Amino acid sequence: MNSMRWAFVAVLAATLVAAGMVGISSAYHSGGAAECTGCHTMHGSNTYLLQGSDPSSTCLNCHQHTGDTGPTSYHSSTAPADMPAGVPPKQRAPGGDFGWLKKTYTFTLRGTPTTDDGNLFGHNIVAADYGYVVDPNNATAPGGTFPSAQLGCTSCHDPHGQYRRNANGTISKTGAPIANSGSYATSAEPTATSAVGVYRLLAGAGYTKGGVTFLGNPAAKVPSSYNRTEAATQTRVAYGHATTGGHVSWADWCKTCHSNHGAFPHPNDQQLGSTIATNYNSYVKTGDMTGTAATSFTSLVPFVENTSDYTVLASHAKNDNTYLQGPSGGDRITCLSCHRAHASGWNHALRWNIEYEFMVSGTSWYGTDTTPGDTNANKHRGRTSTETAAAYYDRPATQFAEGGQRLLCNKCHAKD
Amino acid sequence: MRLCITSAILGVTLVAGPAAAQSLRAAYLYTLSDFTGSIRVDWSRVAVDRQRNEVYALHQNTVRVFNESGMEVYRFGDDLDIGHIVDVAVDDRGDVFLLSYRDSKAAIVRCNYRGELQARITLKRLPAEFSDFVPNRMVFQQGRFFLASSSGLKIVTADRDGHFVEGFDLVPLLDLEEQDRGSAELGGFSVDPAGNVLMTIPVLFRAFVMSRDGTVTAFGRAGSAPGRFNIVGGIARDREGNVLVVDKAKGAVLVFDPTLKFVSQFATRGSKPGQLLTPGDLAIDDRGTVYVTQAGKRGVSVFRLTHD
Repeated sequence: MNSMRWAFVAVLAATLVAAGMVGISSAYHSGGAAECTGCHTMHGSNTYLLQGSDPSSTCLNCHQHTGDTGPTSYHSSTAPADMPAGVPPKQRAPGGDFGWLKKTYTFTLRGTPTTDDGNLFGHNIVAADYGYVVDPNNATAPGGTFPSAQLGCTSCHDPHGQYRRNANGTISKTGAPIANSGSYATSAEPTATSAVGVYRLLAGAGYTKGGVTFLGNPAAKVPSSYNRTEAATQTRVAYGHATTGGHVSWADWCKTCHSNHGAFPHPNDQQLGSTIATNYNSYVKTGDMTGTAATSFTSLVPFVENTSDYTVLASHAKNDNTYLQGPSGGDRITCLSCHRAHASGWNHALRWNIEYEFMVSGTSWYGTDTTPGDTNANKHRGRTSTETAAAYYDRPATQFAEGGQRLLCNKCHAKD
Repeated sequence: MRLCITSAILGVTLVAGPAAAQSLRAAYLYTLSDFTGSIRVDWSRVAVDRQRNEVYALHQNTVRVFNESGMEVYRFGDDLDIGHIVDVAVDDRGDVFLLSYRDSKAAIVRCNYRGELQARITLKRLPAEFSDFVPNRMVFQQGRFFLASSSGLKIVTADRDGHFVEGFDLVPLLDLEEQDRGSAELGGFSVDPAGNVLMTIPVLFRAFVMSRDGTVTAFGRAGSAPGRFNIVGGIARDREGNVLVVDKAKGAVLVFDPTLKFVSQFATRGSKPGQLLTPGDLAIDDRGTVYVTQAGKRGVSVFRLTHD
């Protein structure tokens, strides 16, 4: 037995007690270090004494649960048993459901058998116990050197949640005890004697995995109820722009692994400017540019607000459509404007299907059931209309232009 | 009291606790199979038909029926005509009930032994406090349905026609706070022949028995040692009154006597025959046959639990 390991566990346990984190709510993380035995077993035999075969399997011991009938709290993956052919994954958290990685679609496109490989739908975490395998298409992170074989939840999330936001606005790895999660709109703010967790236990400055090292944490707030259908109201994550005191921008954080995506021709991390912001605010749907800034936000095309003030972000993180303010020219585009962080129903974890120029069929979503005889399978790419709707977080298709809603690239570019 | 727990065929590991008050023998038998071999699926839902010694396993909308030798004899439901099936139960008559969703609406579909749809039963007369009830677990016991919402922490019982009989909000019953709804969820759920509800909640490292009058008894402590809980899953009571609890992390099944004292645990984490890889749910019939679902495409492992 590695004595350092035991010492680590003992210190962690003592830290928990000292921090008074013995409540049952959100038992494993509580914004910081979790209950040790949630993830480690004192009599285990594998590396780090984990409860699963690997780190991600350990995470999914709690973050996947067979029997879900819909979005469920902190679940980030749907069990295969709950998503037979034609049935979409259940979770609707803003990051997306890893279950999409297991949904491969085959269809005939203009006479040619075609496959949409689920492995292309998101970050291919490796979780042996849960059937998540190494990315068969990319040996390393696209645009980077991070080995696909090492990709897991802990590549991006610090499992011990050591990074903390302090009362002076800085982020550090050590310091005042973490009193609660800092992720939620309702989370308490740090005080002189206590810190709060960083957004989503994300990796911060100095966190190294797969040969890459993060330079800081990005800023954001999310409503406390975030894994939910958006059939009626949207879930708005309020992304902020902070670059000092242990912070990095959202795009720079993603570039830790996808470093060469800096050469990607589409602007990233740039301010929108007045033209793009005006387009965003005016755009309602194809052919309808009558929108106003006060109600223009869509979670299908989120943006980064040009503020580092967590109090402001907290006031904008809503799930009841009470804050739908669109961007100003100083706000920014980021990777997450077009991609989901975990996975989506579309290639490259995109928020919408870019394989066809239109999104809806009249008042219905495209699907093998709603447009079965259509010779252009690009419309549905093998999905049922239920799966397509799920990929759009259950929005009614009627929100879009019945006569031919074009891709949401137009939310910013308004070329339709 | 002399401990008489023996390792069974194929090396099933048993660890006894100090409270062992009876003699148990656990033997790994086989994995549920068809004529091509073991059926390697992850985390099925399983339900036993005590009258006919059959077991039903649900996976991805297909219900497989296995005979008492663990061989598949029939299957049905492999399309979405009857909705997305999330759980299965069987009654004394041999009727099969499927908890199913269509257009986000739950219904209990009653089928005959061939899996042919006979009736669609919806829940009726739900009180206002259960209007948001979204069940994902179902047991048929004592002539009525026991339905649970694992994340909503609510249980409803209903008669054969779906009429509301009783409702239980587990948040106050388990002394939780409202904010725990959604954070603390059921990992295992079953109902014993006397009508007592058995539950586990992984984030609490605890198991619970709720009697017919709503009285709740909790047991279990967090830890890795024998008898302690890591991440608990399925729970069921055998004919002798012992309570079996799955531990997903240990890859083991823990056995507690009728007074809820730890007796022993069997199986260990691994991929060898008789071992379990992240087990999820379990069911046990009156012969002591224990069916345990698991991950790693290892199917449903079957054990025989006997009392000397």
